[in-house]
Amino acid sequence: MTASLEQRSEILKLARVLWVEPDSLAYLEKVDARDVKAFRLKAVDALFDDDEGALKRIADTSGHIPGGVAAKIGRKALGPVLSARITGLLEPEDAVEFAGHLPPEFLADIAVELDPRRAGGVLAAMPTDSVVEVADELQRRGEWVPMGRFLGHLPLATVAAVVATLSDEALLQIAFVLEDKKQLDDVIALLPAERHQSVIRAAAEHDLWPEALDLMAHVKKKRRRELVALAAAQDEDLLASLARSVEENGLEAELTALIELLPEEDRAAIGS
Amino acid sequence: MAASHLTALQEELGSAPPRGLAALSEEEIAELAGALRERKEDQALALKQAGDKAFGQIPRLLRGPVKKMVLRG
Repeated sequence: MTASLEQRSEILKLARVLWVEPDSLAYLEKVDARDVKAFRLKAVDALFDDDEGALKRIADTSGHIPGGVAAKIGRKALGPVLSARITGLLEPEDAVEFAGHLPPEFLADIAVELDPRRAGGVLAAMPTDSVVEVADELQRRGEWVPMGRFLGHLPLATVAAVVATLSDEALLQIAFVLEDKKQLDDVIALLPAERHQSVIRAAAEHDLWPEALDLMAHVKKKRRRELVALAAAQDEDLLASLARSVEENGLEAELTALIELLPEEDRAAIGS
Repeated sequence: MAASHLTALQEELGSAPPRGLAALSEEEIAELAGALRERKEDQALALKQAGDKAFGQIPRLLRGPVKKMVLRG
């Protein structure tokens, strides 16, 4: 049985929440992606809802402790798990002040543990430079799932600054697990035209055609047509790698739906 | 209503699992519930250890007021 791209994306995200290998959740391929997503969101709630009262009181005390001291406590004593839980309960201006005293590596540790749905105000208030530093660290670690969860909670200007620093490979990996794929068209619109080509080449270089096809399927139709035409215009080696990947991953239906956007005379190149 | 073999999962989630998970076998449900339980236990341990350490890092003068605020309610 071949999982759909949507199922694969959701299994990757759930595996990250449960800290297990995605392969260990392969049995979820027989469950609709929407149900896997609904389960993940409930699991995050189950992880975050316990002890919220006590955590809120800790968060409230933070306003009475100097920012530098609170940051030191966060780093040396609370650690990333508890800091992440408290972050969502802080006033955004307090959280931003604490973050200013913490290195990007520790902020990245917190980011991995954070539920962005509970920290939207904090994320929106973070200075762009700090977000970019943390995103660099997460990119270095290959933490695509947390990055995909965060992008939807950042102002577009911050997203633009982050996307400008991402490699083409990172962009494909993050796009695949982006929480709200309706955002993908806006993200791709932030890229200069020459990066559209380099992203397609990265799909071949890093064996990320499923991620690239998923990206194409989720942008608006006009942009989808442009990206498919760009892919079809690539050299034979690149198109051969696409054909291999489609066969290996059982993505014939996905590719066919994209090819149908091309003028008939151009379909043979990419479809053969 | 959730299928009976989803009960273990419902206990870990604290709410009814999505209906689509009824497609899983009893073993698979148990495996999924076990993974969530382990993650919750790991997180609870990390939270407890962090909480225990936290007070030692607060300057002595601030410990009294902070303790009062945390323990209130």
